[in-house]
Amino acid sequence: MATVHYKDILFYWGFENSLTVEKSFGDTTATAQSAATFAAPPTKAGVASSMPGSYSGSYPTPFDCHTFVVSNGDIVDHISGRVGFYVYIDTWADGDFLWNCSYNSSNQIYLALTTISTVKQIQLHYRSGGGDSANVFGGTLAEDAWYFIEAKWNLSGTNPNLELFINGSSVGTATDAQGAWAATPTLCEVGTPTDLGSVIYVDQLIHSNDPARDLYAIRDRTDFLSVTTVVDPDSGSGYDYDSLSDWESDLGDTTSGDLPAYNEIAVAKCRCTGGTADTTAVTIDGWTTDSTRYIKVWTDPAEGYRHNGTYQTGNKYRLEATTIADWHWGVRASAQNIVFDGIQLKYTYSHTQVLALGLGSRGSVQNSIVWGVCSTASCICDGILLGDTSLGCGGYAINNIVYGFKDSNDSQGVGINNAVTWLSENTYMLNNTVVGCHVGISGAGCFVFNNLCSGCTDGFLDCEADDAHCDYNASSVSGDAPGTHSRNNQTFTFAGASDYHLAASDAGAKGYGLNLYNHSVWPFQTDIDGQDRGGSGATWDIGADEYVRTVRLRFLLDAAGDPAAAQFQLEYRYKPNEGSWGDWAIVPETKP
Amino acid sequence: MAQILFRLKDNVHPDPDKDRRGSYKKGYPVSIKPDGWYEGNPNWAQSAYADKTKWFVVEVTDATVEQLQHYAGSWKDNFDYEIVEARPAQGQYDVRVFEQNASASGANAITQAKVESFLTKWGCTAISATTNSVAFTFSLWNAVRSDAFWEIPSVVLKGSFVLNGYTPATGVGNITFTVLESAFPNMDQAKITTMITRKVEERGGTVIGVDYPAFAFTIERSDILQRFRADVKRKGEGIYRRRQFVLPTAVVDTIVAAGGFVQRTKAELLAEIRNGLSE
Repeated sequence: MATVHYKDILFYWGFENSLTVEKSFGDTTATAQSAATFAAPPTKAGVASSMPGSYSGSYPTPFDCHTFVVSNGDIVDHISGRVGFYVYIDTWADGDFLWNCSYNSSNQIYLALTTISTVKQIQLHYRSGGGDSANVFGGTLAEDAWYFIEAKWNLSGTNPNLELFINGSSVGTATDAQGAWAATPTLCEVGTPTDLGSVIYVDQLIHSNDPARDLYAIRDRTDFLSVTTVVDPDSGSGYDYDSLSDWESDLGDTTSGDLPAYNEIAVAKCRCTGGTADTTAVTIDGWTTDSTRYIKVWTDPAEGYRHNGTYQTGNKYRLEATTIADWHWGVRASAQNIVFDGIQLKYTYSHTQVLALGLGSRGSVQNSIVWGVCSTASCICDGILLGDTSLGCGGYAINNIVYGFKDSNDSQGVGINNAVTWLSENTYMLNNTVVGCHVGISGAGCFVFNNLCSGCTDGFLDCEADDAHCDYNASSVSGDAPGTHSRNNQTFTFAGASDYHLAASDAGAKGYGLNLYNHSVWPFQTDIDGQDRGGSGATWDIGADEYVRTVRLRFLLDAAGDPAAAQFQLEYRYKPNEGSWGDWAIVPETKP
Repeated sequence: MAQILFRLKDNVHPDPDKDRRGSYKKGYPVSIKPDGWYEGNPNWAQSAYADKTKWFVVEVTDATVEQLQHYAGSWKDNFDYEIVEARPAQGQYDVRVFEQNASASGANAITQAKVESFLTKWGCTAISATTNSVAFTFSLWNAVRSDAFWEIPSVVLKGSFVLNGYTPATGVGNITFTVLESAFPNMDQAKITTMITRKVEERGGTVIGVDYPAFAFTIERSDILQRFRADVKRKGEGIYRRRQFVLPTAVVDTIVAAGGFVQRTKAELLAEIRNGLSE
């Protein structure tokens, strides 16, 4: 999936929000010249239904010229840039402007209406120093319809350096040979200052200083949702920040960190292009979120920087933090609605009252590995703490492997904990594997299903005794996990040391889980490796890993292609994308 | 050498408390970087760091990364306590809690509002406040019957407590908590027993007998006071300001005018940067 990155967008303006500036980027916040200019827009019956995007009822007054004062270097770069917007032409009049950016009348770029040989077209005009102008004429337009008009100019690029687009398709090019004008623009106008008789509606104006930016592709507000930036401790190609902490300090390059106000999702895509770990502890605070405009920190499985279900170094992104004092944390997200997906976190601690990963209300951690390392006595530490920071309760831990949260005298340490005890009704701990912790899961009031606790002194602490809250869990401790279908005093067989995938021979968790494919709150279909757990009718495994054996049937020919020597070969391996194939059976083909 | 990445552009949150606690401001140190962390990197120019409206860098010529790490720390609460008076016979302490990380001008001073809810949940009484100080009475008997001790809301409605005895010389109280089973509809006897036993032990007590649903336990006054202090510290302390240190605006503007990159010695930086605690 391509990176969605809007840092080049300077300005986005939708009329639907009371004609205020919808979004501004870059050095300067654009402001309207006069609020009165935008007052009391009339509603035009019948237009809204044909408006693409999220249009909701208010319109600029026909004939108004909506003007932005711009100053040196901001909003529009007259040397290279791009502008796009919707236009609805109720009444056509040749010569009326749709958009204009200028220093003065001798130095300007504009889009205007024109008719050539009875064909209604758009004119892109570039003029520098009062000399000859370059023009692009294109399109075949009609009244009473919406079009998305884009103009591109790139006076520092290759020729043709002007191009006009309508609804995402190029309709003409030209070359301005005079070069860009010397002074910077001072004015941007939307509408028609000339007022030759047109009735024009304009919406969703987008400015970029990147002439290659496809504005048509992001024209609707919903396309602005993801603000994705790249965290790479190795500062490799395409990186934006070299630590997650720096990413957070810049609010992920979002407009203001107020995600609902700007209809944004802040996404940190974590990479590790050169093998370096991210070692800076992270605090995520000072954001505003809601359930649909949230913060996401993840490794994209398609990019190859995600772990394979074991804690990996090399080019797998990992955050490795070490305590420096009591009350320290590796990652603490006071902000609500944060998603951690596919992250490795190693937390080395020698202090107490510390925390590897704490998430505020409605946070989720999934498909992640959280590893605690402690060789000091009496250190209180949680691996994952849900509902942290007294912001209320609720959170989700799904498909995680958590291990090592135990101090040297095995007196403290919880793998997965819940900050709001006893009466938390909105916390879900599903299909996690917790190994070698003092307490595996502390789940008072939580919904605890399909979790595996192995080698913990107390696997399941304070979990509710009714099946509606806690069931289908498995523990190596006797009399531990509540629930009619829970399995205690079990021996689990993993794939290897520090590899907590289920082995083929496991008899403690494999095939004993509850199918959560259609879970009422958090339905999911895959395991920590992204492997399908088998669909809505399958019997799931307990824990983060779903044991999956893959088989393939190959038809083999020798180098000479002799059909008499052909074989069918049936092979298997446990994971679809890793490991070598093992011969299950070799079946010589019988000649027909 | 090491470099400090500073924030140039203010982050703003509409909630003033969250804004102070969570938002980076102009002049805040963001992170400490090794020397040469971006020089020569062909990818740096397209990174977020290249936007000089957001950041500037101070290179400290005679410091290591480790020597500068403290500049990238938050301004955090750090409560401390003083026993003003102990009344062993009653199992009571008069205690004063105060903020060690209040500034010279009183910023981040502790207030009654900041800790009152925690104190109340532990059954503290006679709560009053003076400048950067909140005084209260902590009683063993009130504490063992408090919601915070058990982490059970309205615990006094979910069982009955009896003080079987208290020895002033040792400070040990002997208490029986008889659980009202119907108040815990989702829990069976085993679960309730586990819950009660574990909580008593967490708070420093010892269960000396179980005659379900009655649980007898002993607890020593200084042990429970210690747990109380840890609990209030854990739940009451937080971040006051996103960064404790800040470069004054005038200094920042000078650095920005110089291109957003300057060199300083440790001593020069120390002379310029402001510690919030000194403000």
